[in-house]
Amino acid sequence: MDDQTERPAAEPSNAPDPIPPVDRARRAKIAGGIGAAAVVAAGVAVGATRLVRSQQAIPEGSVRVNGVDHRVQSSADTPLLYVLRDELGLRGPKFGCGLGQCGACSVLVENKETRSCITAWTAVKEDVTTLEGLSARWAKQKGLSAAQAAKTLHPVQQAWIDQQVPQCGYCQNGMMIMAVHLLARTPAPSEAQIRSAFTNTPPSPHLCRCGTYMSIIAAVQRASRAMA
Amino acid sequence: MSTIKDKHISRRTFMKAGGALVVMAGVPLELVENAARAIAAGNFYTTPDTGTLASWLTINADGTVIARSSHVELGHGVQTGLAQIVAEELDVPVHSVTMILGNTDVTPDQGGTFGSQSIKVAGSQWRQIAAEGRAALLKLAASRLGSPVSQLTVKNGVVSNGAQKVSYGQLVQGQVLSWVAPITFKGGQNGVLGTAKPKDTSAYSIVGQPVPRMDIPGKVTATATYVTDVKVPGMLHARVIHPKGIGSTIVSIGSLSSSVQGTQVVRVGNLIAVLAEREWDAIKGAQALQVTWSNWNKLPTSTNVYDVLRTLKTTDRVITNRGDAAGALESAEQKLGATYQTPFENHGMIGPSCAIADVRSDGSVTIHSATQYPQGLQKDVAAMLDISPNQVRVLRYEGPGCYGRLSANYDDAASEAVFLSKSVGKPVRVQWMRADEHQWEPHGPGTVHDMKAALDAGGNVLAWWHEAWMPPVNDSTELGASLAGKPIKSTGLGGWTGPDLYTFTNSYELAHGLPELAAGDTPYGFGLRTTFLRSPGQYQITFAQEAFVDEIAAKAGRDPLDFRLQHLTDPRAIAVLQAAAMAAGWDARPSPKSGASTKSGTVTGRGVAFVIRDGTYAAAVISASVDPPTGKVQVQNVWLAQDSGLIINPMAIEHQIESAVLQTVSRALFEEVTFDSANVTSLDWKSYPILTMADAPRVTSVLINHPEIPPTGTGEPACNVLASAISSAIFDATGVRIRTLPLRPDRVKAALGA
Repeated sequence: MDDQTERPAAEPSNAPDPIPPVDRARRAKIAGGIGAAAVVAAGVAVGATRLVRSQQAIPEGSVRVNGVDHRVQSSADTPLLYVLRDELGLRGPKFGCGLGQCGACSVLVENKETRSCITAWTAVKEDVTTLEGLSARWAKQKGLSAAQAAKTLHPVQQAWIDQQVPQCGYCQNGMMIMAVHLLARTPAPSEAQIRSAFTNTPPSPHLCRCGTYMSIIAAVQRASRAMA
Repeated sequence: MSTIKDKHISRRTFMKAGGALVVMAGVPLELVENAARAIAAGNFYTTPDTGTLASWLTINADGTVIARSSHVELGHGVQTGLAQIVAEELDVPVHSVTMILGNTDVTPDQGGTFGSQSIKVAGSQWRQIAAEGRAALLKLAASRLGSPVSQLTVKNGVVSNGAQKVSYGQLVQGQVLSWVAPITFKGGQNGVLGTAKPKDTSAYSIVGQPVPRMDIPGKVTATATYVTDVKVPGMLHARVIHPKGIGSTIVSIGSLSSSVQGTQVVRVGNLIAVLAEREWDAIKGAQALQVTWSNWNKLPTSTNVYDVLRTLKTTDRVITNRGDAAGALESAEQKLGATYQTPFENHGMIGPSCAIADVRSDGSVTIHSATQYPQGLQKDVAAMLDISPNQVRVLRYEGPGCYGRLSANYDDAASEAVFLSKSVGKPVRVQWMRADEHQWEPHGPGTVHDMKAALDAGGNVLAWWHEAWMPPVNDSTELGASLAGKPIKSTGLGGWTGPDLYTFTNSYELAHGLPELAAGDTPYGFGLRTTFLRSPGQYQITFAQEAFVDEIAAKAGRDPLDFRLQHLTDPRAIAVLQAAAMAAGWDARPSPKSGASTKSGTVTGRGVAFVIRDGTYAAAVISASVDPPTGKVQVQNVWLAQDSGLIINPMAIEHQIESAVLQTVSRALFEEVTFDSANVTSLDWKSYPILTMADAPRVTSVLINHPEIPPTGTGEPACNVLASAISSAIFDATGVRIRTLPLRPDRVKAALGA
């Protein structure tokens, strides 16, 4: 007798519906200081991945990435991607197209998914979070101790591992950044909302060539539950 | 101790690293000692013959195991699958095994990672080699414990005779042991013969388990090293300016003197690039540099290529000739004929090609690459530079999924970086831009298929006829070498991939092998390059075969599943079809469905298809919706049953199936390389759209495990059963058969005439 392992079918989906308008109240900036984790957690709405924004201006000629200010040497028209990868040595954002067509280069600028390959670094005035910074961002939001933070991944990253999402993994930076962007606005998205967000959010769909979209949907929902 | 006298296990005092057993194969005896000591200490060692000096396994004093393979992780899970096989045979925990992949200094040549060979071939080799390692450890243990091997058991790396225990780590503590395993490789890459008896599959506890993929955490936390992450001291960034037409040569080059600072122009033959310390400067410089190319216009266009393919000189090969198909066609009462066409396609790596070459004045060369075959690239680079392969070291890293793009053409970017680095005397990193990859990747070939069948009055098949025109799927040229005037590889001929599936009495299948388009009309030795693309050749052949089988079933008024089952005898084939049908809740009826229409609103249909790919059986049932007014086709559900023999890791296989399904839905619905008479014109993701999340189907996989049958590939089979099933689902929904891919809205809308 053959062993058969059956995989349950995914839940049926409804027709795609638009992402609800962003909750204005949730988007409102919450004042706070920088540097200390203690200032962060208070006042953050449940389910809303809203960082306390620094009131301290980023120095001229610098970018603030994952909480640290960096002096930048690159010419003013250099896309943020090359500053992050070549000057700062970060690996999360990837070069995929240089055209804003695929999403592999995505980072969070403040709270918004942004294509670093078509954004000059000098145009970035707010805090940048890359894949490398997601865990610390989450730890800040949850007010975790340094010891807890050190062993905690962002729920989106953990869900990506638990669902075994990546194949080659090259696009997954952008997929995880997009997931954080989405969950900040729609904490419990339906399958249709996830499909729409990853397809219709400007400037382009997030493209995966290995065919991991269905695993991504499952992982976003898993992360949503973990963050609730 | 008796093991000291064993001629196969040599023992040396080990000074530093705690001790190890190094399992080797094919190593010249005089090299064994030095190689073992170096390997045990984690050092590189030189390889006089990259094919034979092979150090496979190290069992360390801390109980960890290192296994080395030329196979590489493409995101398909081979690192984990091979580790499971090694751990199973050695009886150690799977997470004590570290796979070192794709480093020509230390990994034995098991061939490249393509053609569904990693588990089938490399896995079977590992099964034997790890069994040899276990046998060597048991000899040591027998001596230590004073018991014959037959009385020993192993669990989690600890050997017991019932009364006493000793761990593998303790057995090698304080010494370096080398074991030259008495194995031979059958036909190079087709398997391995040895003296140790591998474990019976009924005793497996690690193989067959859903072990999480070892490469995933690094990919999720940005700690994995992709080739794009590699930085070499003194490295220059290069952007290559590729020819305008495929056969264009450089006429003149403008000056960059004042426009972009910090750049230099490097030319080697028709290979021209802008180099700079800063990546953005190289990009701007390449955009600014005016290069005038000769006009070249020898290609057909993507609009007329299907007609042109039929007019070219072919090399023909009869694939199947059973009975008298021509005679049966001549005399039959009912005849069918149809022509199927598939477009040129992209691999579409989501990251364009990238590699670093460091060609040094001392004659040594280091290549950092995401190639699918490090040893192959090593030999190619040696040929490009007229040096020995032993002077070339290839280090392989994670890369964007490549699906065959880096298999025969091992690494175009590396081949360019080699000449540029040699020219400037510094390490050079070549990163292609998006348009470079879309235009210059070696594509999947476009194909044409003429199908004929004859039926008797009762709807029984009297004849089956399939002629296919196909350019090569095996171009192995290296772009940089060709542009630099040192071409080292040929382009090949098209052929046929895949077995005859059904028991039609009179059957004739003919492959019209074509050369690469315009290959004879360029100075480079290649034309419109076409090479291995996930299930190469068979994807196209099976599309035509399975869609046409559906046409025959419809003509005969038969249920397409029943019709297939009637013409199959292999129980594994029947089982996968029935499993897919059962999962989908298939009800027997002919296509098109009653109520099929091109006039009403959105209609739905279903399709079924079957294939055998390299020994693996796969069947799909799909459901799809068709919207006649817009021509939009949406694949809603795919039920995919697969039998690949022994299951190594069911979770990894499910993800491979999902990957193959989604990628192939993308190919079938959206993808087509466009070209004019000079070159490819689809240069980005807008002109070459692929599947987005909005259109991804739900996939239900059913895995059929046959522990008694050696494992075969799982990454390709599902690719073959989607395109025809979608075409059949459109027919089921509308009564209209569309025989040319891709099934984009404009084509579907036109075909439906709605």
